[in-house]
Amino acid sequence: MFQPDAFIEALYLVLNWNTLMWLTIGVFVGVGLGAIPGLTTSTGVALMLPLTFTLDITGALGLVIGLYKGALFGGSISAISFATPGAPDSAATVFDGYRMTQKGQGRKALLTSLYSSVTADSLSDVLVILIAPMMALAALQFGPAERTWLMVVAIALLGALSGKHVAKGLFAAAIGLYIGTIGSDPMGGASRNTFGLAWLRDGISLVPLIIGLFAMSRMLEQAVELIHESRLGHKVERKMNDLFSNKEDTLTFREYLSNWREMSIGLGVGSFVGMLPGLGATVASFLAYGIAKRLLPHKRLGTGVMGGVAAAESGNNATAGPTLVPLLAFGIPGSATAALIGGALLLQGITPSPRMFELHADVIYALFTILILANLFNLVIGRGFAFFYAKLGGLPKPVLVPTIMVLAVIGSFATQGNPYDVGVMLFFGFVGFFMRRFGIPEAPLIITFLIAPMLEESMRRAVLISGGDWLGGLLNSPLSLILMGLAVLVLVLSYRMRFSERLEAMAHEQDSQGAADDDATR
Amino acid sequence: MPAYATRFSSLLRSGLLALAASCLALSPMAQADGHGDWPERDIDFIIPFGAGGGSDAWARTISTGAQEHFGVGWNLQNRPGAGATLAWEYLLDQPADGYTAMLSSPTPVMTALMEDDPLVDPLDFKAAAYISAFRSLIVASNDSPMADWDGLKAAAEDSPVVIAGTNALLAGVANIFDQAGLEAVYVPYSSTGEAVSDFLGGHVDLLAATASTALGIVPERGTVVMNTSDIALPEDVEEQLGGNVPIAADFDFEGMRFPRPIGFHPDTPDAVVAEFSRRLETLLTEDESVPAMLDRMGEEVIFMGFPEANEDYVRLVERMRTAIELLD
Repeated sequence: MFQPDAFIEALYLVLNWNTLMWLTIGVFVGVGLGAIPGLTTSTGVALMLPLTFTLDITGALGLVIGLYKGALFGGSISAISFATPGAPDSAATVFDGYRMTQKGQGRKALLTSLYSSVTADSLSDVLVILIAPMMALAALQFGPAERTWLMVVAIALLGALSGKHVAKGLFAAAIGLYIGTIGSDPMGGASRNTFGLAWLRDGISLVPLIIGLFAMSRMLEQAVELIHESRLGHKVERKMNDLFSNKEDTLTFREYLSNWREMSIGLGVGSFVGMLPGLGATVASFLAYGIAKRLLPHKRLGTGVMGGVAAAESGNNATAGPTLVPLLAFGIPGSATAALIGGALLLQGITPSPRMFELHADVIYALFTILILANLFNLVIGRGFAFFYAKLGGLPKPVLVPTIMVLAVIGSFATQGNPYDVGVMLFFGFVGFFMRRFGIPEAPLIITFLIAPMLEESMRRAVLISGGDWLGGLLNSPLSLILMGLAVLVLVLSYRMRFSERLEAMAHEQDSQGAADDDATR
Repeated sequence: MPAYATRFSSLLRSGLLALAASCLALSPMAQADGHGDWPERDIDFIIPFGAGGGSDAWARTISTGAQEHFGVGWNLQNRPGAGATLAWEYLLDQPADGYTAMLSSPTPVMTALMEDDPLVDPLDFKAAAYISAFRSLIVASNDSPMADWDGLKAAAEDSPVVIAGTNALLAGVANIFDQAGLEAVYVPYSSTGEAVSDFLGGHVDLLAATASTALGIVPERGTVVMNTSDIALPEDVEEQLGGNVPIAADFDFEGMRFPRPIGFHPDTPDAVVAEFSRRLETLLTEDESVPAMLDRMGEEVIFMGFPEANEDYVRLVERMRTAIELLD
C-alpha cells in the first residue's frame, strides 16, 4: 500500500546536498573502479562499506547504490576500449564493442553502452518499484528442478554464439565444461580435476579466465601483427594526432532508438535473471546477447555493431534493480552486491525483511528514489568517463598493447590478491590466442564454464531432494514441465533455423557458381 | 700495573662474569615468563579469504585497535585459495615466534576435514582466542507440522526430512540429528540466498540458517525450531525471533557453535599466545571504538581466551569430523 507521508519524508531525506554528494561520489568512484579490470562491483561496494559507518542512512545508500550502478556501467568502458572487461558482467560487450573501437567507433560504442545501460537500468528499477512482491513470489517458484531446466533453456538459446561451425562451437563448449568442473565438488566438497594442485581447489576464477580469453589473447594477436608491421613510427605519429582530434563518430538519437529491440531483450532477460538468486549479471548479459543474436539475424551481431553492445549492456544493467527484490521482499540477498547493500542497511540498524515496508517505509521509498536518481547521475558522469576512455582506446597499438597486457596482469591479481590467478590469465591468454587463430569461438567456452556448474548443482540437488529419483526430481512441477518443453522447442527451432540458413547459403553458393559459369562461357 | 688497578680489573672481570652468568641463568626464565618483550615488531595477520568478505571485515575492524593495545601494528594479508587452506599452509611455514597470526573460520577446518589429502592437519593450529561464533538455527515454515521439535521428530521418524543450508550450518543440524537418532537428507548450498529461496518456495522442508538470516524470515514466513548451538541468542535477537527459542541443551543435546578463531603456528610458546589473547580481550571488550564498530556491523563479540579456546578447538575439530561424515 502506497504511503504518501512516507514518500514525502523519503524525498526530504534524499533531495539534500549531503545525499546527492555521496551519490555523486558513489557513481564517480564506481565508474572509475568498474573500468579497472579485476575490481568488480562487489569488491568496490565492499571496499566502500566501512565509510558508510560514518554516514546517515540515505548518504550510505547513495554511496553504495551509486557505486554499484556506476561500476556496472564502468565495466563496459574497458571492455569496449581495451577488450579487457572491467568485470565479468561486461565480457559479452567485448564482441561488438571492441570491434567498433577498432573501426574507429569507440565513442559511439561507449555511448551506446551508456544509454542502453541507463535505459534498461531505469526501466527495471520501475519494474521493481511497481511489482517487487509479485516478482519475488514468482522467483520462489524456481526450485532446483526448475532452475535445472532454465539452465538447459539458456544453453539451448546460447547455441547462437557457437558461430558458423557447430563442431568448433562444441569443442569450445567442451573445454568450458571441463574447466568448469575443476575445483571442489559442489555437493561433497572433495576436490576433482585439480591435478593434485592445491591452489586449483577453489576452481578457475571467472575474472582471470575472461581477462585471459578476451584481452590477453587479443593483445597477443595484435602483438604478432605489430611485429610484422612496417613503418611503425609513421603509424604511431598519425594515431597520436588522431587521439587529440574530435573526428570520432557520436551517437544520434535515431541510432539510439534503432536498438530498441536489443534493449527490450536485455531488459526482459536482465530483470528475470536478476530476481533469481545465484545467476547474476554475467549470465544475463550473455543470455541477452545470445537471444538478440538469434532473434535479430539481420542486425549481424558480432561484427562490430551497436546492437550487440546494447543487448549485452542492457542485459547486465537490468539485473541491478531486480537483484534487490529478494532482499526487499524476504531479506534474502540475491547476489553478493545485494548482500553488501543489505549490510549497509544493517549498519544503519535496519534488518532487511518484509517488515521493512511497515517499519521503515521512508527508507524503502528513499532507496527507490536513489535507485532512479543514480541512473541520472550515471548518465552524466558516465558520459565524461566515456569520452576520456574513448580517446585512450584510440591510442596507437605500440602503446596500447603493452599497456593492456600490464592491465591484464594487474586486473587478474587484484581480484583476490592471488598470484596463481595471473598464471591462469596468461594460460588462457595463449589458449584464446590459438582459439582465435583456428576460428574457434570463445563464447561457448565462457557460457558452459558459467552455466554448467550451476546446472550440475541444481540437478544434483533436485535428485537429492527426491531421494535419487531422477524423473520425479526433475519433473516435479508444471513449471519444470513447461521449461523442459521450452528447451526442446528452442533446440528444434535452432536446428531448423540453422538448416534453413544452410539451405540459403547453398542456394546463394549455387547462384554465385551459376553466375561465374555464365561469365566463363560468355 | 699498580695494585689498585689490578684489583679493579679483577673485580670488573668477576662482576662481568657474574652478570653474564646471571643473564644466562635468567634467560630461560624470561622465556618461560612470557616473552616479556613480545611484541617487538609488527604482527603479520593472515586472512584466508579475499578482501571484502566477513572475515576480512572483522580483521580490518579489530586491526584498527592493534597499535593501542599491542603497541605494534598488524600487517593484514589476504591469502585466499584452496578452500582457505593455502593461508594455513603459509602460517605453518612461518617461524613459531608469535609474529604471524591467522584469523580462521569453520571453512578451512571443513576443507581440511573433507579432503582425502589435505594441505594441512586440522589440528595444526594453536587457537589463541575465539572472537565470535555463529549458531545454526533450524527454521521451519509456520504452517508446517515440523514447526516444533516434537512435530519435527515425529516427521523425521516417519521419513527423512529434507534440510537446506550451507555446509557448516548443516553440520550443526547433523550434530543434533545424530544425537537424536534421526535421519535427514542434507542438501548443501554454496550460497545462503539460494537455500532460503528454496525453503520459502517450499522445495525443501527445513532450513539451517544463522540468526541474521532467520531474522528475514521469522515470524512472517517461518519459525525457529531449535538453536543447535551451545550459546544462547542475544536477548534482542531472540525477542525478534518470537522469544523463547529452544536451545540444544533444553533437549539434553550437546550443541555445537561455529567459532571465528585467531591462532598461531602450533609450536608457538604458550606464554606468547596467552599474552596475545589477553591483549585481544582488552581490545574487544574494554576498548570503546572497536566493539562499537562491530556492533554497528551487526557482528557479535563472543570472546573465549587462551587456553580455553585452544582446548575447545580440539573438541570442535572432532565434532566437525563426525558431522561431516553424517553429511556424506
